[in-house]
Amino acid sequence: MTENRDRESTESDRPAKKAKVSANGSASTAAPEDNPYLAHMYAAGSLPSTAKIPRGGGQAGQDPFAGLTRRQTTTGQAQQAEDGPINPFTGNQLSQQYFDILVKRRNLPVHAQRNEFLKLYQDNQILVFVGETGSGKTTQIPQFVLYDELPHLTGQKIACTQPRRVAAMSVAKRVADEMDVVLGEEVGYNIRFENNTCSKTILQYMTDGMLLREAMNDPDLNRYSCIILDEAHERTLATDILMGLLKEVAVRRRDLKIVVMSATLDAQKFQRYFGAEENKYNAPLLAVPGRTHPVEIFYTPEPERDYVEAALRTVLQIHGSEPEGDILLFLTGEEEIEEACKRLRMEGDEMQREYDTGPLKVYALYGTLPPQQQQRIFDPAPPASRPGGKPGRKVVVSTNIAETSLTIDGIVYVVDPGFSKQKVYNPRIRVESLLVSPISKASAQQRAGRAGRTRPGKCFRLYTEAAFKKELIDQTYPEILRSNLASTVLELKKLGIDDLVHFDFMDPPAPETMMRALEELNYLACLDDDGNLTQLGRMASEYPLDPALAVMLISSSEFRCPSEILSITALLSVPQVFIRPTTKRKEADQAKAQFAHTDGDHITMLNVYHVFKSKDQSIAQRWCSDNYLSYRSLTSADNVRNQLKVIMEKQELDMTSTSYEDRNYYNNIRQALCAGFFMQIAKKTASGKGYVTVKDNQDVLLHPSTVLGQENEWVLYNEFVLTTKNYIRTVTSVKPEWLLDIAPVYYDVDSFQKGEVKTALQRTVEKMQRKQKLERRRG
Amino acid sequence: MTMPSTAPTARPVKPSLAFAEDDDEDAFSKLASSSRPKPASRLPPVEPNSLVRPPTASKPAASTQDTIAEDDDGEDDYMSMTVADPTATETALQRLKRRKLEASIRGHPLSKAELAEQERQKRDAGLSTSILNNSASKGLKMMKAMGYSTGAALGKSMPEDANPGTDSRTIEPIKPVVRESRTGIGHTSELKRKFSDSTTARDDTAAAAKRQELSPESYRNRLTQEAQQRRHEAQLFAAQSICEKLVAEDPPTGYEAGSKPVSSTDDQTEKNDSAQNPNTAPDANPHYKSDFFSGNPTFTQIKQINLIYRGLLYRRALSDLKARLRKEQNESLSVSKSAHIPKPVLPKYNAKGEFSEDDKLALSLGGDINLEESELDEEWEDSELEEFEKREVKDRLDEIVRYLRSQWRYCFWCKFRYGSDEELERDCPGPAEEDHD
Repeated sequence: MTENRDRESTESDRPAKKAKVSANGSASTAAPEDNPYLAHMYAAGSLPSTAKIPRGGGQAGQDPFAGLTRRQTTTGQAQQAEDGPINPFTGNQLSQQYFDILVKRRNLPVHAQRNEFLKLYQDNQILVFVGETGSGKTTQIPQFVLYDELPHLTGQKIACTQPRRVAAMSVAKRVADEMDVVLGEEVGYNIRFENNTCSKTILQYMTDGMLLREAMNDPDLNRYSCIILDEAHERTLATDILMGLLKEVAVRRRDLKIVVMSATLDAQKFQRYFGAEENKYNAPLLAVPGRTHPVEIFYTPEPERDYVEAALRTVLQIHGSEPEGDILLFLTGEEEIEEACKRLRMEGDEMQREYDTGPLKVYALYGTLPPQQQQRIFDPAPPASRPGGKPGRKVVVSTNIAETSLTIDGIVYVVDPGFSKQKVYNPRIRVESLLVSPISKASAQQRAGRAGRTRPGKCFRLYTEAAFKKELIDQTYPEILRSNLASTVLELKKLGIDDLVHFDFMDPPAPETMMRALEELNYLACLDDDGNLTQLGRMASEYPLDPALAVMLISSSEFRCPSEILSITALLSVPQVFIRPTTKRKEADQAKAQFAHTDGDHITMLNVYHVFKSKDQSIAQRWCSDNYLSYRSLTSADNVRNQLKVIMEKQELDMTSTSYEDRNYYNNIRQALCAGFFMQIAKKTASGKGYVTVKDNQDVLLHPSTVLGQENEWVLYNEFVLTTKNYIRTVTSVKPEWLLDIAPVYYDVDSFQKGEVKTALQRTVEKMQRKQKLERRRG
Repeated sequence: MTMPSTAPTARPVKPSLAFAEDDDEDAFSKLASSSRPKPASRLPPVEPNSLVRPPTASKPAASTQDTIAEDDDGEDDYMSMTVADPTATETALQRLKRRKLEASIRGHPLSKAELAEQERQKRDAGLSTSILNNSASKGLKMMKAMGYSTGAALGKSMPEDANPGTDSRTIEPIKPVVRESRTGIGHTSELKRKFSDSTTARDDTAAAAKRQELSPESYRNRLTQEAQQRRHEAQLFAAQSICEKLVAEDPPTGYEAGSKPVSSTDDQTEKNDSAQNPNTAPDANPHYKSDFFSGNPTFTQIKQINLIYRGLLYRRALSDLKARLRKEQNESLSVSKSAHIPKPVLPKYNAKGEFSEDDKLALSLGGDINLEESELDEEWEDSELEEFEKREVKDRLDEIVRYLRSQWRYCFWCKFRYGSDEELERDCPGPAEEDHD
């Protein structure tokens, strides 16, 4: 719970007016422990160790569920069961903490509509539920469903999907507390590389991607009696595919219930999509009004020359002239946010000294921030610096995390420059980039809404009203339109969907994206020429990885380096291991240079991992911070590596690597890299200043972070990104002979456009032919 | 195939040697190629002298010299002669060409801005080219097999999508847009509107023109041209001076000394004069009436001089006029001051018939004395002369040289006035400068 609701509020008539500020204005600041998104940080929790009474023990016969019929329960029956004193799911005595939380739960906006929800739920197979963040839908709706599904009777679970791993973990923790059960037993979570569930689990929070993977082995999702798709408005790739899939499953399994939950945006679209003939293509909708206050919106009269400058100016103006209330500023990325924070702190101090304003406390918030620091945004605003002085103010400078997924109370002013970083993939030149792009109208409205959670607020948009109307698109493009679909296509193939062209996408991707994905899978030998899954494709689909990585991993046993490739794959699947703080760039670069390997970045990362593993557990963390390495990323890579290793062993792949002394040790690794990434190769240009991607003929530069010099003729890259320049990142030098050997179809010289690359390949072919002839003669 | 022993001097390079220079495999490959059995499918033996020609029409063969150079370090296997499979390899000549090209690319490194521009252009080109046209793509074949028709969207059409125009399904992939600055929303588009397409349309051609200007050849060419131009101008001035002198010494028929000069050679001038300046007949301006050849003609008189050397007199008259005006102005302002100057040095004309820089400064002719304020503004304007001077210097020079020749048998290049036409024919090498080299 993000809000500390201290009053009974069962009246549902005017929930919007129910301010949680007490009369004297002392805002009830939310305790971070109550925030469901942060629950994982209180893992050890204050759960009192209550005396457990085994189920069917002394109090048998008092089954709280006695007399209830599945899918015909009422709110009253459920509440009675919830009121205890026995935990209906475990049979244990309920703890005091449980009852404390229960009071708060009953105050949540969704609780007021439990009756309506149950009725609609019981009468329909598919239900669209709309409720704003903070309405309690993520924690409460799955519990409402539990008390109606009575899963312990059917043996079927309830799944609730989340777009983000952290959310799945922390919400599961919170709900386990609410239900007074141990996390991982009745309530658990299942995210990529981490499954915390058991046979007792009846409610499972999971990432949408994990449910999709489960569907690959269980196409009808028979394990579940109800599936709740939460945060569907975020339109992640996996949620979109799941929706298409569930629409089909719903036809096959009439008993499966589906709840699609969204935060007010674009609900009609979901209704239409899930509508069936019997409801005139309009799925039933239940909306819980959020507790919001009016927000006044201000536009700038002129377009801004520099949105960061304008944002800082606006924040300081608010601080200088507006009444008490915290400020939320949306910026795009870590660097920009840190820079803004630094300047705000400086200016804030100056204002306090010279104009006697209240103290200004500035916090940054972005995804890669360590959790302890993320948590600080929930600290209350600072008090006045002296008695009778002006009250202090808190400023949170955030990426669009704070737009929907995280709620910070006390925000009264929102400053919205109108930008966010968005991923874009273009199949034509196969570039995937995080680019600063204008947000959508829907996002802008969502941002404005953040100002009205405590009391009437103000939103300052740093663009003109005309620009809002003309320049912003209505809805943010769903991820499926902005992503490489290679792994999605592989998943769909594995799910048994053969006609990808007519699959019921909510927003179908561009045909070229699909074509590229099929083509790439064909080159990787995951699909045959008729589009059927090959043996390799089937194996690759078992890894929760991009097909290129999966194929590389499978091929690594051929190249006798599975252990090394496992490590590299794991390292590529976690956030960047090298840290480069803006203030200590030089030191960080020096630290990185210790690990540098002349062959390139992949092996450099491998070096880091090897040293990390050789360090004693107790000093590893210290060693990481001394060497500007991310301990979190390295430990998580270690974990990922173990998970992948299990899959490889299951597939009975040969796991023996050549020894470190072998002179082909590094060549083997580089060749194995080629086996997965032969489509991501660049060749040095004749002028020698840059590289050109081999098939798409794009001029690219080595990313400045690379350890490689300019002398390598052919390089393999992990990513092609677009910032202000075309960059290739994480590169390793390779030999053209390997490419021709490993991927003869892709490197069919005749298929290349006339140019440098073709000539170079032709020469390599000839060289190889000569060598072969020579060897044949000798042999 | 075997060659007669005359072959070694003219033997095409073996394909195997073409790329094996600085390689560790070099030695092996040479060894390999030397002992390679001759495939039957190779071209039939060729006459040595035909070797300089390509084996097939499409493939130029190695030049003789190239092959010798190539084989100098090779082994003596000239008894065997293999001709390259004409479609597969690069001949020595081609390689030479390629290397030259590569060297020239290396020799003229592009600037950072140009590289960025090239990168952007390639990217834009890539981003705006649909890959659905690539019919060889197996991905497209698979989609076609699933029932995809090119140009259509994927997915199921919604009931309301049936009417055209409402189908919101994606066909084009989203293009990445890079924002290079932190301008706010609406700012760049406003700029774009202001500059509109005028800049974008000319962008490419302007950039191309700029690049061309930057190449060393064009720079050299430009310098040569400028030097040539200066030379021609000096020659023109010299020719005009000669012309002036000759007219004074030996006026051509049709010229009447005094106040009524008529161009004998140029009827056009006469017509123009009478048509355009009816009021500016010499008599109408008694103030400027002076002797025609005294070196102080009026503008109206000047206008009647033959175009080919009129410019000389015109400019001189203009300089004089300016000086006089300036002097009048100065005198009217401070007569006493100028009285102090004991022996004023008279300003002199330079090679172009104008005052030298020093004199200009001395006379405080700021370079552009405002003649528009003077009452003479109509008189000194000469549109005819302006037209004439728009022509190329070389062109005008040629004309005056021809005129001197025909009028006075004076050859500008010999710097000599011949006595008779026969003499001119006999002793002068020709009418052009090149003839006198």
